[in-house]
Amino acid sequence: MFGKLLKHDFIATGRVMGIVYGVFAAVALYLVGSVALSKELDSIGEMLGYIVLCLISFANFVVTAAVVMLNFQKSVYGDQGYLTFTLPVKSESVLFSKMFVSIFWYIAAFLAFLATARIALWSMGEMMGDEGLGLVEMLLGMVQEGLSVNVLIVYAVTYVIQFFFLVVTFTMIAYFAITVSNTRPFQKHYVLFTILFLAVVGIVVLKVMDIVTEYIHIGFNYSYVTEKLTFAVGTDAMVALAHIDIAAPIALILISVGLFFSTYILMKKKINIR
Amino acid sequence: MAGKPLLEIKNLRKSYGSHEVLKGITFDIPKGQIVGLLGPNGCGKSSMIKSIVGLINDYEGEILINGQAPGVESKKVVAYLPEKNYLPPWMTPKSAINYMADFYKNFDQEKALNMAQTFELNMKQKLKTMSKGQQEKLHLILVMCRKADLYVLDEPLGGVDVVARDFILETILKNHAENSTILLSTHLIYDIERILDRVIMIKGGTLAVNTQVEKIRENNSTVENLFREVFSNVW
Repeated sequence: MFGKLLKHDFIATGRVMGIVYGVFAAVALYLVGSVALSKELDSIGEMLGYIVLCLISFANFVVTAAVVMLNFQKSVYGDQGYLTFTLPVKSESVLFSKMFVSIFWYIAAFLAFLATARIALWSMGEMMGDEGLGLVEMLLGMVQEGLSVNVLIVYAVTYVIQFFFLVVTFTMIAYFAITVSNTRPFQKHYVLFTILFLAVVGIVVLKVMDIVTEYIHIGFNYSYVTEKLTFAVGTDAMVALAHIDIAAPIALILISVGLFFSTYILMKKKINIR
Repeated sequence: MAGKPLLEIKNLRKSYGSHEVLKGITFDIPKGQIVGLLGPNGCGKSSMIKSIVGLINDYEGEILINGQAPGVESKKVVAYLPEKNYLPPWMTPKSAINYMADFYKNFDQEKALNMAQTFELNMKQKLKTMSKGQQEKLHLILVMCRKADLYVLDEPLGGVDVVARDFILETILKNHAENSTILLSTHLIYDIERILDRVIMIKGGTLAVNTQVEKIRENNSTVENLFREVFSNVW
């Protein structure tokens, strides 16, 4: 049944997200084709294409948040909740499915953002020939300076993992805020209270994360001598130049789990659909 | 001797804040009956129905459907028709039928497609562009094409003309599964009196009447007259 929930959540959110990615793919293909053929970026169409691509890349995160939150509100606590809550599935499956679909769209937004950056770099290389390639290599060299490729990979993976947990946490904050706003005391003005709870819970989570990053230092330090990563706990970890923090992701996981169960309990025990 | 009841409700209580809408209701319904759940607006009918179908969980007392509390198992055998449109506006009859077929093993997809054709529904028309009548036909198909043990129909005759009411009742009677139970909430008693086996009347959150329609008739009365008698002091 979980697969069926996923399928229908993808259909529900995919109607809008499909249009966004359809436009993104069309503009990206036009740009790549155009630059590959002409080796130039001189037409108004191409310039506009770049602007549209960049705008979509940034706006995509906002659109994703809006689609995911609206889908959750409508399909769980709106009139469609009459259908969702009478399906022979567990409440936690409904929540998991929505969360999974949300994460998928955020990752897609992140990949679209990376694709835009990649297209920009590639276009630069194509247009400027050897000179452009040199510029790209110089930029990569600046990032890479002093670090081995292996460590760069570790860094990249770490940031991707952190992005993933940030997305999970943000999704759970949103779902929790929407759920609290749909309990009886706040139900009448749920839009207002959703915004309010989103802000309040968001600020609380940020404060918790500030404390965690300031006082809890667990992670891996990179040694320039041995070119190896070593596990480090305590203040030493903080001063290391190349430190990969794992306290923050762990804190994000714990916060997400707490929000998931709080949302689940409210959903199961305290929600009266209007 | 009747077998185990299909639906058992024991001392059901539900409050919204300090306002108690269900004040300890107890009754049970055997299999194979058509039961009218009657009462004026605000008497607690909808809260009771929502508790039975699993939309409300914070009630006191006990609800058992086939011996099980409302949950995943009970939802497999309960077909619910809410008072309002519960489908997303972008859905079409085709996608709605596919949706139900995906989640309910007892949903007869072929029958649903045939009924949609008989009711002259455009399979590709989005719900938001359908008339209220077309939407109600679709809702009815989605519920009555399930081979359920219990059909819970909340005000299925509300807001439609007399011809549509006849059509809806006929569809329900023709299509409900054999030996299933129908719990039908309405305030249009005259229209449904002829099809009822039993009536349950809720007054101010308490059980006012729970009797066989046959017994009412034996006393040379009608469900409508009994309703007037019970609720005469409400207005």
